[in-house]
Amino acid sequence: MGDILRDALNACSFQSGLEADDPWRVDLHALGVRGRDFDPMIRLQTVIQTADKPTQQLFSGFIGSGKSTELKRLAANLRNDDYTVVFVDSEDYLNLNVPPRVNDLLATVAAGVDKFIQEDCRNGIAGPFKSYWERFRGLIGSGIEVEGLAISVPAVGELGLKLKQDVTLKARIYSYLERSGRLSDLAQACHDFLGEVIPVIANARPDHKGLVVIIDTFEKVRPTDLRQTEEVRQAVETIFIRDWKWLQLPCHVVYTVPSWLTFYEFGTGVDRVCILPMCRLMDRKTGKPVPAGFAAMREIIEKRMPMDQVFSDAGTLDTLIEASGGYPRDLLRMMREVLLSAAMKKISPPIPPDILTQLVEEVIRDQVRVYDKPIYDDDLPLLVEVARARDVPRATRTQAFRLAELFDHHFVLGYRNGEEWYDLHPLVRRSPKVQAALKQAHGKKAKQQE
Amino acid sequence: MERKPSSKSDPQPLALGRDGEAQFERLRACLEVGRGFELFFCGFETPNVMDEVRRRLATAPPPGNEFEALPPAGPAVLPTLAEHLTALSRNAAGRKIVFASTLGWEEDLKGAWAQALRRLNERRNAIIRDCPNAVVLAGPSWLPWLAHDVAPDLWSVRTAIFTFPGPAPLPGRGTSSQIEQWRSGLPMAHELEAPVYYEELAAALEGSRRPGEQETRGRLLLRASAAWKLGGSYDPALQAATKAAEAFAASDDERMVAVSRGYIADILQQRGETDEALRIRREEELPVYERLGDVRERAVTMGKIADILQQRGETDEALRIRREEELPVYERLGDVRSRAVTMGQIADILQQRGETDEALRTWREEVVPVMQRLGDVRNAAVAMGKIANILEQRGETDEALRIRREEQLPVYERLGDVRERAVTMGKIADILEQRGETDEALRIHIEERLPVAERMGDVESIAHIRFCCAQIRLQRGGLEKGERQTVVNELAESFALLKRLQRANGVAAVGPLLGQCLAAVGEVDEALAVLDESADAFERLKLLDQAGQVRELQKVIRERAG
Repeated sequence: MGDILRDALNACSFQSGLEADDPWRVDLHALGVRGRDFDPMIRLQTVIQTADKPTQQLFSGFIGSGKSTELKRLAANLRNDDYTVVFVDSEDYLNLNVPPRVNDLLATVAAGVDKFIQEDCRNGIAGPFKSYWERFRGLIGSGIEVEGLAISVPAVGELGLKLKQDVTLKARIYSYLERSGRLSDLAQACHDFLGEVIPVIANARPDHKGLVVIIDTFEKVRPTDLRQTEEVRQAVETIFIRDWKWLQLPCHVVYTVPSWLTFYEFGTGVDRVCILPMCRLMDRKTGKPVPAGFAAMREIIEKRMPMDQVFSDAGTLDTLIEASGGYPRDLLRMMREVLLSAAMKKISPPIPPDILTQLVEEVIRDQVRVYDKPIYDDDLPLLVEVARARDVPRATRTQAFRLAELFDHHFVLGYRNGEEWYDLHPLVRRSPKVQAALKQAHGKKAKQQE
Repeated sequence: MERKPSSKSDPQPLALGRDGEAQFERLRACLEVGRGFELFFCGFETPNVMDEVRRRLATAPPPGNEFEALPPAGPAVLPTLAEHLTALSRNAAGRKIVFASTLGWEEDLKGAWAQALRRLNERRNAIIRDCPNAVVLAGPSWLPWLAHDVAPDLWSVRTAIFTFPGPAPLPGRGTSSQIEQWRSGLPMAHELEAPVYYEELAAALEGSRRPGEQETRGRLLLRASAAWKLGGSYDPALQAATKAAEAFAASDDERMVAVSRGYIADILQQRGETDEALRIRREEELPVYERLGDVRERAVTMGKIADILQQRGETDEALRIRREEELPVYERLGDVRSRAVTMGQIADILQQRGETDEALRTWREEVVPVMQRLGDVRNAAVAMGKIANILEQRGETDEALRIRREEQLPVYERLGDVRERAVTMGKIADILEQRGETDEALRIHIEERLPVAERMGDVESIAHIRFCCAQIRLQRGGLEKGERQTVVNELAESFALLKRLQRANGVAAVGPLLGQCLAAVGEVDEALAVLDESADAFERLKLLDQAGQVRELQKVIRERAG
């Protein structure tokens, strides 16, 4: 395989959360294809910049829609504006497979900030300041007894890791504190810690405008044991509804949350969850292609490879772009498959248009099969409803979870231009199962009209 | 038992067929041109093809890649995959191809993969960050779709999916003889010892909407139940079987509900609750198989009813069922093995009734030759053991000993069946004891049988071994030779284990001996209490004569104690 094809192919491989200044990054918002009227990052940023007290905001989006990339953009923008931004990957501190408590989320914020100040603000730390884990251990002690069982609390240096790895240990510590009516002390300790951190950062960075903590990947919370699915959902609801007051920390915090929370209306003080849409490729009402959307998706490819050296005529790629539904990962995955096929057929670049057309068709056919296979029969009515209304029903809590699953599997994609709207992934729309269901639904409707 | 990869024993490469070769070529090309972290899902219709793909990648890795396979430790290794991937050395030259695959029972694989995929989903970012390698997740054909369902974050970063069909037919030989099913082996001993393992696998599927997975969960629960039962934990065994029945009922699988109820009946029968066991067999199992027109299952269930009746001493009805309800069905179906097994069961009843000549003839003429003809060496050895039992009962110990040593032991040793070997050693010890060679008999129980039973967690065998040891010590005059306390301790341990196992027949049988020994050492109250339990057990088993004898013994002890 020639270097051109090999480099192009590898450029289409998965890249985790591109930095704001990454040369491959395409700012879909700036191109207006995620809704000119609404840029979630600008909104999050503006809320922080204009607030007169610390804010807590929730953010969600489809898997692979670029949440982490966008959050890094938010972080870069805020840093440029002299904010101190701490980016925390929940995965580093939390076991995302067990039902979380508000204390877990608070501990994640505190531990992430602790790590940041130990590394970046040592000069701001004064005499008796204690790290978060020192406080945690101080609160619990070196050993506790739960139901007659003596448990030794790990040393400060390994406490964070042990609590993440050993679910039972954490549950026992919580149980111990709960029985002695001291569970809220743990939450209070996080508040106290952050209250002391604010001046530490101020000492180290006298001109900064405030501390912003971004908690990424919390939306991935889901149990390994399916029996706990409902328990996890309720736990998340409890955190963001009942325990909201504990999340009102003395700094700005942005949390990524599961997509089903976008269907919730919260009480006072909490905005609706900001959701990151896909790149819009067609008009909701007319169904006509949106050239700007195609151009933006083409730019994603163009930034990764010398188009004129790889393709004789890249026009054929519009078919591939259309099939991606504006979901960049699918576009890159299909592009990669096209390039691999070309390489295996020993086609020298630039790939001629007739061969490219044929390869694109083969790859799309193959990807339709990948989407068709895992569609359940009982998902079809909801998929038909989305296909017809180009929107999602917002009726019950159960329906919200079903929709969230369809979002997670990219069967349904979200877009925005003036308003939020939804549609089937084009590869799902082409699936034989969905085609049959749409035909059947159409037949029923026609019969009713007669 | 883990099936060995076929590639080791078979140097001939397996042809993958046109589609399979195309898929392999594409996978190999992907691995060759790719850099850094990549994730591939490979679904295989048969394990042989998976072995072949693994073999090809291992023997000739694509340039720039180093091959590493997950240790072949069975499904239990899968849930640790996430940790394995993040712990891989980053300093190795070039990229690694991490081939994660394992063999096992399909139900185990499904549960274990579901757990593994959820963990990989949670650790996705760390894996991408810390594992700049090509990760190939290889398993049965459903693996990619399971990943789609349970691990959406992981699924979203997939590089490609490959589906491999079965191997190509070999010219002139029909389908390749190398094709084997995924269910290719017996469960591993450690799995039998760990029912929690099955329950955890089943838990991983609870609530799953994927078609067929509730049934899979039900089957895992049945295996958990069987494993609990093997360890003598009847309550959790009952709970697991009950949950399995509920899972199958939710899937409208009437047959499997009946099968699950059958498991419950087995457990009840084992702990002496024969009335309820009989009721389940007659009222909950039989009608289902009759309604489904399943004559074989009906015959099997009738056989289990006969087992209970035989256990209760109702040998006439048991014999009638075997001869009139079971045998004709197997004969009609042409099932020679089941017919031979039933003939063996008839011989057991005949032996129980003292008709040893006819019993011997049946084993020798109707069972052993059939098993030998079928090449079933294990069951032929078991049948020879039955002949030895009868000979031993008739005092023909030389021939009985010869059969044990020459016809049974070598077979079990060849098959690597440590459990059956230990059981046979116990029978040899019984004969030696009968012949007065008590030291050697005792040595066999303690040195040959006990370690195996302890290693396997086989509580019932441990109870039996303790009982046998006590009996031998008594026979050699242990009460008078300073072994009094040892005898009492052994019997007490055996009795306690049998009580824990809720084995009514064991409690009934050991009780009289323990009671008498306790009385002999002056523990009259304890002796009477033990005898009470023994008599109750006999009554529960509907063996009223024996119960009466134990009550009589209590009377004698009370009189002697004044």
